Amino acid sequence: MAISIIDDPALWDRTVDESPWGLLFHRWDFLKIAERHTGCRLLPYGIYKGNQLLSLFPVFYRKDFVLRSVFSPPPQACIPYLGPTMSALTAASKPGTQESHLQTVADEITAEIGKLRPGYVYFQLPPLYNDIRPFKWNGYDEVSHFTYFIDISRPPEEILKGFDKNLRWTLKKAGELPLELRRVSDAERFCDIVGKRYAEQGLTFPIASPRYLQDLLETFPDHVKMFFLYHGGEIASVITVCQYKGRMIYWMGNAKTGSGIAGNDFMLWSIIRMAKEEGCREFEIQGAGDRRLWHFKSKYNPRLATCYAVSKKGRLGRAAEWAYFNVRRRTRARGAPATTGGNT
Amino acid sequence: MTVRLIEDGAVWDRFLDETPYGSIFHRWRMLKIVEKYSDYKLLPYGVYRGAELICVFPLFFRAYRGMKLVFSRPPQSLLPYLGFVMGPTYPGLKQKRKEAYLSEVAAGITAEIRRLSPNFVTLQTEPCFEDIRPFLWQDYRADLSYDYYIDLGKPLEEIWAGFDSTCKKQIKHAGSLGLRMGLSDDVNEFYRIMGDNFKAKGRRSLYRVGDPAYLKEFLDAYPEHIKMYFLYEGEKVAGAHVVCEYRGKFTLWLGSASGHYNEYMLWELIKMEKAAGLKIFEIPGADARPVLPFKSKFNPGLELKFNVCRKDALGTVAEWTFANIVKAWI
Repeated sequence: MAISIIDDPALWDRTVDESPWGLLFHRWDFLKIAERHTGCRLLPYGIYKGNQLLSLFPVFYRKDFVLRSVFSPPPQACIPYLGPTMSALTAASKPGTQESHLQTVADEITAEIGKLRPGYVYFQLPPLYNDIRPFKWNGYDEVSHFTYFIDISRPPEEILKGFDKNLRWTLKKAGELPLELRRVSDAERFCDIVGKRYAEQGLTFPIASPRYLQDLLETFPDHVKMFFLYHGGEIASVITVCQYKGRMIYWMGNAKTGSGIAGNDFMLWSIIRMAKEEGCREFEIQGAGDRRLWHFKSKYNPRLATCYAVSKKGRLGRAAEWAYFNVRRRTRARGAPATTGGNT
Repeated sequence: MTVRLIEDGAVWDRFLDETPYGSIFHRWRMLKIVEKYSDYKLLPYGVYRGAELICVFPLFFRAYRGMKLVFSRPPQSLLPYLGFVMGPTYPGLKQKRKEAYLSEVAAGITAEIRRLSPNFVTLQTEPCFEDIRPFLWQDYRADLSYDYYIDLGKPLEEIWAGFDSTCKKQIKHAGSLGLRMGLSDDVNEFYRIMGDNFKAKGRRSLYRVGDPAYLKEFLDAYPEHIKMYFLYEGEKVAGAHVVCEYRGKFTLWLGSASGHYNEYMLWELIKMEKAAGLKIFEIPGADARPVLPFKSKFNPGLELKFNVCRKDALGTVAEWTFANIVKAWI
């Protein structure tokens, strides 16, 4: 077994593209942009068995004063999940072989990052990654997270029929309004609108900077798309989606802008139809574990899926995590302008 | 929504007959046998929406030396899983309604549990039931655990082809020794074999202190569903397994065999259950790293289940004591 840093972007991207585990967030340029804007150092590991590449494992390293941290994905990148991408060969192999490869990957990455002596390690794994036993055996704790998927390979009428009755009525009413969906690339405006919605809840929008989002929009024009919904001259809803390998992820936004119309619902349904027209088979709506939002999201009649985060935290790491969620994210939001609105 | 204890075993079992969820371990007599042989009181809760019974939730309660404990499944009961069972209408509901039903169940049951003011609560879900969010929002924490399964819907040749080469050799070798498999009800012999096997591995087990009559009652209560197979090498019993067959699912529940006869026994059971029309061959317990080399050589898939748990300081101490002292003593 061996683990080493991969410095060949072509090999990296080919592996991501070929593997069913590979996500847009795993692409080399995506990781490099995240590195540039989050202040973390990217360590793009490859894990081998002999000459066979078993897995890619991008991790991000950061040192804050005395605390060394290892993340995948990095904080402030808004990447919902990352972790390893098993190779296409592993994905096609028998469950027993997969199990053995997953074990190797967890053992190797744990040993390698152990050399950095981190006080905080956090890997948020994608929904496909259900077997977290190798991480547990390596001393990681696990937390369950939830997300929703809508099967959009079905005819639009069937998808619509699954929606909640009130939602169908709302969409019908919104359809009678002069609403216009425009593809845009105004990251500054987007972050301002979404940031205000976060501020209403006493939080900061956890994104490195608008420039980070702008770089992604420019680097991945076919995969990262931003839309504003206009009602007259007013913005009624905003959204940024990621599209890759037949799946569209409702990534960020959909902030209620106080326009007084059902812009979020109309926006989401418009994007779902667009995703379908562009050949996507699945539409992901994240954040099914958020008690405040599950009723908004479940009215689209999605399927629930679970994904897992695994972590190792020393005392210092625990204290830093507590401080981040309870002090930093909240105090930074103080003083931000408040607007009226509903759910985000 | 109302939550009340169900006293009529027929109502309980009829609900289980109608819903696609639930296992043999949820059946009324199973639960009563567990209660009889443990120090726990069975609290068979039903959750109603109007007149409709939407969920059954078997809890086991014990007050012991100032501690109050609630389990579903109770420790040392040998049951692989228990937890709540949603009703027949649940799978056909839209997601929003499913969530509403589940929220009501979690709210109702956790309110009942609060009335018992326990120091330690642990509840389990059935394999593949993922939605534990309403419990997490009631300040329970969740741990994930795994079982293995083999899809018996595949052709036998395909199942065989999935086994690793060593496993195939061991089965072929055992097959040439004239071993014989048969049903048995000799629970004393089963406990002796299991106790000896654990002892040979330097491990302590429940079989040293447990009452074989406990297992006998299961066998007698559900002869169609719970069976005990012995593997004979000449006149000597070389292996034993207690298995469940319930609603197209086979569960390799308890047992082991000496040497490499386990592989042979499993293969014989797979062939037998496939021929009998069962669809899933379940091998509980895929969490412990030491058992992996044995279980994973059959190329099984993984299924997930959750333990949701809540404990106060006293409960935390009790859990530690059980895991580190009581279990070691047994």
